[in-house]
Amino acid sequence: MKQEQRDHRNHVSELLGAWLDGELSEAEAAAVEAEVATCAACQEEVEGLVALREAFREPVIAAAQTASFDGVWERIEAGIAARPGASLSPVPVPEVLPDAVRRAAVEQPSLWERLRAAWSTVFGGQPVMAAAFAAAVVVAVAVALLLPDGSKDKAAGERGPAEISAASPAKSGRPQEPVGVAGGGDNRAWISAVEYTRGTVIIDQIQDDPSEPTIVWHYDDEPVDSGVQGG
Amino acid sequence: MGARVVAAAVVAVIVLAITAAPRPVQADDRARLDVRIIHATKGEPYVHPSLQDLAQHFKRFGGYERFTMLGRQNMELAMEQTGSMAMPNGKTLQLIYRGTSKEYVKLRFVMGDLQMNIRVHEGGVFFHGGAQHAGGALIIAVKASSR
Repeated sequence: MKQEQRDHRNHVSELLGAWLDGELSEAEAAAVEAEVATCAACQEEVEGLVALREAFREPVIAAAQTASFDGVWERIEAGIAARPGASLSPVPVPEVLPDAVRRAAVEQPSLWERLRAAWSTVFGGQPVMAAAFAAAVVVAVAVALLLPDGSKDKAAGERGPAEISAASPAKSGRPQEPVGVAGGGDNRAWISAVEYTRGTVIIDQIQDDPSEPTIVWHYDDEPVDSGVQGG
Repeated sequence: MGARVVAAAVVAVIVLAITAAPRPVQADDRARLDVRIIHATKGEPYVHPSLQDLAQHFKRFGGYERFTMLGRQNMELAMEQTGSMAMPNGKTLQLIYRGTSKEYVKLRFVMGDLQMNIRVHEGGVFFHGGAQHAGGALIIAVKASSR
């Protein structure tokens, strides 16, 4: 056999495996087919390769059909975790890497990205629900802002124009705001709708000291013309 | 589509109910009143032991130095309930609980021909004076709380 022919056969022999797998181009496959058709040694090699593949193929297929992959990943994780010093947490990024690369490697998803993911999880595929939720939130905020707070004082609205809470005679009727706390107990008081038929009513309150209580003086030993004070 | 609209409406109602329901008014449905009848007279300065917490205010009752307690009654009143107490001068004091307003306890005060509404600060005290009795003056101290 000439050297040129041996080199050609060796080249074809290297391609037989790929030819059997159908991985060659049309030109290469045609050349290999032509060689195998005329070369007894090549035919033997092909037959040997086919027999070897069949010998491996059947047990692998049989094993794959009966194998179970349940819990494989869990066992892998357990095995990694059991190794001394092993960790499933992200691998530390080497400091030699450029800053931009390091940031990209270590940065977690942003809050907005996580919210968007959660939103998609909850309302994904149901835009009507998402729109309803958003509208409800807007309406809820608006209602909460506009509705009067039930726990708040209604005193301001109830306070009549003739309410009296001053260190002045009741008949003055001029409403005055209570003053702030100045230590001690808070004895601020508001008097309103004072009605009497006899005598004099004086409401005594020290304006600059809310710890001083209100005193309602009623001297009923003298008649009065007007019997109604306040509202 | 109809089911989706219904589901959307349900979500909206639930969200509204949770977030925008008016907060309930704090129902201080009972008031506790400490009513003391005080006899203020001239003489050697004296303050009854049960009136010591009020002694700092007695300077407001000028001309009287002695303060004795003629009676005391603790009332626990439900809304619109009336508490009554007989006075030494034959009159009857009536106090009606009218609820709370912010940090104030609302009361209706009725004695003789005097009637008035009063809002006293939570835990605060107010006085009524002026009625003459046994050579001195009758003073009513009312301490009110709804908590």
